[in-house]
Amino acid sequence: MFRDVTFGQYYLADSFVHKMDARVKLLLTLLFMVGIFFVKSFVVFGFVAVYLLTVILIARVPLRSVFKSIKGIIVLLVLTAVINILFTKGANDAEQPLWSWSPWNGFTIEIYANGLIKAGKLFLRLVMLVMGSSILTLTTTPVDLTHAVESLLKPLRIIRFPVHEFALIMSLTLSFIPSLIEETDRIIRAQKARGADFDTGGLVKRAKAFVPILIPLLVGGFRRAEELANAMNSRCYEGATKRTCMRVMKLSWRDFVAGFVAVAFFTGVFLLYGMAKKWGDITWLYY
Amino acid sequence: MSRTSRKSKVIPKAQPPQNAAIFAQDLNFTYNPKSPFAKHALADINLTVGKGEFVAIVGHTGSGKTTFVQHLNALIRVQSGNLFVLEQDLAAKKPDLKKLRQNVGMVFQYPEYQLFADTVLADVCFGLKNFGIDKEQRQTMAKDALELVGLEFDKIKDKSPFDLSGGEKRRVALAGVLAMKPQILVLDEPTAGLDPRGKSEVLSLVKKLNVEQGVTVIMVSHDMNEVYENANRVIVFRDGMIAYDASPRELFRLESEIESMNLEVPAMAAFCNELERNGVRIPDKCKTVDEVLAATLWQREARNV
Amino acid sequence: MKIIKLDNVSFYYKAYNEDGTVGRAMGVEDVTLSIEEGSFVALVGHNGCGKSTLAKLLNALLLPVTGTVTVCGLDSSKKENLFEIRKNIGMVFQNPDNQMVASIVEEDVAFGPENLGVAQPEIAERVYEALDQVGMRDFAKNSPHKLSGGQKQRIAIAGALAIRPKVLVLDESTAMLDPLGRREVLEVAHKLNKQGMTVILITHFMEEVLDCDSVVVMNGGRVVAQGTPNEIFDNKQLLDEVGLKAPRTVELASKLCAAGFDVDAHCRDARKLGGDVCQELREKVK
Repeated sequence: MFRDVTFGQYYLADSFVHKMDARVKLLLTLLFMVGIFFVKSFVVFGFVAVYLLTVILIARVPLRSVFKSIKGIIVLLVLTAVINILFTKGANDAEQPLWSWSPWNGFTIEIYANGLIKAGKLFLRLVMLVMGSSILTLTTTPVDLTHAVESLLKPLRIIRFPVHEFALIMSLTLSFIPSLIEETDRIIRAQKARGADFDTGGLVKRAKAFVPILIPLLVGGFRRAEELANAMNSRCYEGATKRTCMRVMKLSWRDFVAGFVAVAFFTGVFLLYGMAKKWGDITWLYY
Repeated sequence: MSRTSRKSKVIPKAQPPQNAAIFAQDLNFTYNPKSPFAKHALADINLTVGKGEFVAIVGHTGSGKTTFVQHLNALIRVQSGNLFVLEQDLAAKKPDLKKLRQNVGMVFQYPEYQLFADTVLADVCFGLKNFGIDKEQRQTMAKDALELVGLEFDKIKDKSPFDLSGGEKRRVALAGVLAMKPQILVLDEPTAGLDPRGKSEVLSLVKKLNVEQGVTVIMVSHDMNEVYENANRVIVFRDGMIAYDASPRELFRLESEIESMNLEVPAMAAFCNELERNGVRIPDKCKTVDEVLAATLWQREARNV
Repeated sequence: MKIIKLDNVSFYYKAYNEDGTVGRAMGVEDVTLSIEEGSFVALVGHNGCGKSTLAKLLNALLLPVTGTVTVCGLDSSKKENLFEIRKNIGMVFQNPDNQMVASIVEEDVAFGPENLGVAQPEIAERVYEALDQVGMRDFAKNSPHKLSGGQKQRIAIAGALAIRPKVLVLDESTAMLDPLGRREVLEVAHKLNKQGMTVILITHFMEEVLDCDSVVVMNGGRVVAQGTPNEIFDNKQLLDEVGLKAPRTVELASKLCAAGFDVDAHCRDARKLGGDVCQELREKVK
């Protein structure tokens, strides 16, 4: 089935993961994100890496596009790693620094093995977190995600959370993004043609240069909103009261299989975490 | 009439002929090159437009016409081939964009959606200010432009552009471009969305600029009647190439070719073609209803004798 | 049967005077008009003449300040009728991009039936029926924004049809389209009309008016004339007053006729007109 996706990072393929219910994918991704914080040792990180790679293989998404998502947080990764390496002290007083340097009196930079380990784990955790969530966005269209969010948030209606409106806003935003991008592009070109200069001058000048783009965009936004409201009213929109929905989300055997495997795997992860706490002397659980 | 064919690539850089407003040589353009979404938008465009011509550019969405006109004031930079606009080499590393854009006025589709200032005067002056024209001169130039588009300067200059009617907004937006006194005016569907009266007002303004002030006009349009009655030359874009480049009368004689491209034959052209097929010749310069009517009546007179 | 009736309807917009006080700007004034069920009516006039205001009064997006609007026997000023009226009037607006509520075609078309609370299996039935009627079934899973203008407007028509209205109002729906897109939309509108749908076409293109059953001309918020396309295009004085022009072929035909040529004064086919003129010229030579 061809689904024409316009933005986001959806990767078109026909895989087990693509066919899964978006709600289950969303929940399992959340489970993964929580679970990864209970991983304390490199050995368990290895298990999770295997789990992740298996999912990527089953999902038939290229590894390259999964790794691409890491690019966006590379600064964050480096920064946290450096901070952890520089500022972590030894695990106990007995631990000697691997390396130390004192550029002037009273100030010493010391690097401990403990810091390296901590930085390494944090690094792995962040990378896996991003990779895990990118599998969700690579295999699920934004539209399906919206439906999943609406469906999962339904119980919040009891506390009068406007679930339907929330989902509608998400869906409208999705459908308006392409035309807003187009319009922005057109306005920029038109003002450039009238000699507008967005590339030179100081910060204030540059900020001011955006006024001729922002105002037409804003005015256009109001115009669109009004026309949209008219169009929605004309099509009998009256809020959520008695609305039905064309799309039915149905769980299939895939969702049960995937859910079972994932839950089993993370139960294992949680158990290992508990064991490490209880029997701190099992070193492979610790390192 | 010339049907442009694909020529071999790599041609030594030619100099634009004398008096050429636009000179394109083997102009090619690809969107998103080197990616799976690469789209060849222009293929070997060769074209010379003389100063003072009124050229209409027609073709379907995606035929490359918009990509081409955006090259004319360097909103899209030359990828391969040569392009000279008013003696400026746009394939050069750093063309003088200010000078170019001041001389090549560009009116986009629905230009009223780009209005932004708090008064009409400030909006019309926006371009002038960007091009470094001093304040006093700006005022006079804005006044000239607003009067040119048929608005009363004193009445309208302090109004908010957002309080005007649709037709007035369009004219203010036009004035914002015309104020710079461009030598080339590029218009992308300038009459879209206007009522019949608004359409003929905009068209007669463009025609006036072309005839009286010698402004070179490049007009993208979907309305073949409009094209037929106003342009001196029509260029048909198809699949990124120039399919036809001819005078309106010559072009619209090719009824079956025009229709096979899903374009319309203008009403008066269809009428004159039918007469010609029956051996009644209407002069090529007769294009409006009244001109055609007069010529037809003259034919009857001639036969009555 | 009259499906829509307007009796002395006036509507004013709120506006600010020069001195900052609240005044009113005219929308439509004292309009009395009725529309026959199953007819194809064009509504013309220059920008700001009140056409779009009139359209919005038809499905209770606006309520008359004075007078009454009756749709399928229902008074639009009664709140309880609102939903029923909107169910009967499908409306398509000018800018196709601004009426899409979903980023997948079938979900956009489903918006109306979903609002009506139609049961789930029937929604899909309605959606695909509507898409079939506009010839866009193959695009059901596509994203609307990559389609052409004409295709987008056909989707918007399908969105209106899925509510199963009795009247389809096209409020300048062809204004932003290229000739090909306009042709697509008009073909759909005429096809629907043949199946019994009442169509109200608001337009600036006089060529589109030719195929309508009747034409309503508005000026300054008032209905100034109503008649068949031929009657309207024959009335030169009226056209000049309201700033409209007959299509070129019709204009030439009527002028030739006035000059003594024996041609159909309402001829709309330029080729046929040319042929007729030639025949007469040839006879002259004999």
